[in-house]
Amino acid sequence: MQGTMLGGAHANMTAEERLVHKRKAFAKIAREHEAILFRIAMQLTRGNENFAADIVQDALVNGYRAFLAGTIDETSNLRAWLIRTVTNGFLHENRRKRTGDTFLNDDIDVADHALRPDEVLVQGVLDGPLEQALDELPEHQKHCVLLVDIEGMDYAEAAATLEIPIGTVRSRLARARLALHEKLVDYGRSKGY
Amino acid sequence: MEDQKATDEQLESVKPCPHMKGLLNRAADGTLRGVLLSYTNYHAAHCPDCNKTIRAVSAVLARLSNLKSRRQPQMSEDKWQAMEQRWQEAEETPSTR
Repeated sequence: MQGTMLGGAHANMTAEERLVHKRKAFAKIAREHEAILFRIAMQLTRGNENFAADIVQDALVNGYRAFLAGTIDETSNLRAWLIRTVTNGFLHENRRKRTGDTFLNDDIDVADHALRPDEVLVQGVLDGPLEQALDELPEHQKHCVLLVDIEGMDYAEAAATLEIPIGTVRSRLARARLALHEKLVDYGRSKGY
Repeated sequence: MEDQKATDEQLESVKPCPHMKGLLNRAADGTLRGVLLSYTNYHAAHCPDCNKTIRAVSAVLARLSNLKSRRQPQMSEDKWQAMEQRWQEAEETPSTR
């Protein structure tokens, strides 16, 4: 498909012009997906803006490499691919931290640099108790909630993004939502509501 | 009124019938259709615990959807410029993946 496109309208372009054209095309894609990727990265990193931006940047650089190599193109499910890359990037960095590998990790410290819940509340941009409850969910459940309940993906797209069966998305969501409710009940009781 | 109802639901733990958990969740998020939806609504109408569960899950979903509207983060222009620099480097060093 991509080859057809380049071979048609762009047949007279030099190699350098084609590269510039591709970069512009990918920049447009990146801008279109910036908000969702950043929101998901911010959620995964508990509001650590620098860490989130680094993860998104890495995902978009990997995405551009794949775009240049023809692994993905405008006809692919780019959103799913990019979200999966952001999620995997976060898990990779997190795993590296847990295993004590500090290579290139000096300024990427989830626990130390993430905003504390009280800081998040002070910023006034988040639902503190809900954010806290989300943080306490197992990662695999949290990813489903992020994609379906916050980002509004349907079950099929979330399943494709996470590369899991649709039934697994459903069951993880069911468990996660009930767990969130129970955590919010506990929070309310602790505050005397 | 709706907010108050949502708050009220959060005060109580819920214990739905085990075989209904999945259906109740899908009824709450609107993805359940046809005979399964009718069955779930009928069950919930006669089962206080499952009824409470649908309302509790709906309240959670409403709060989750609010999170998105509260957040419209953007990367700084500095980050974008740095990324465009990395894109140019990627053009010079093709992927080995």
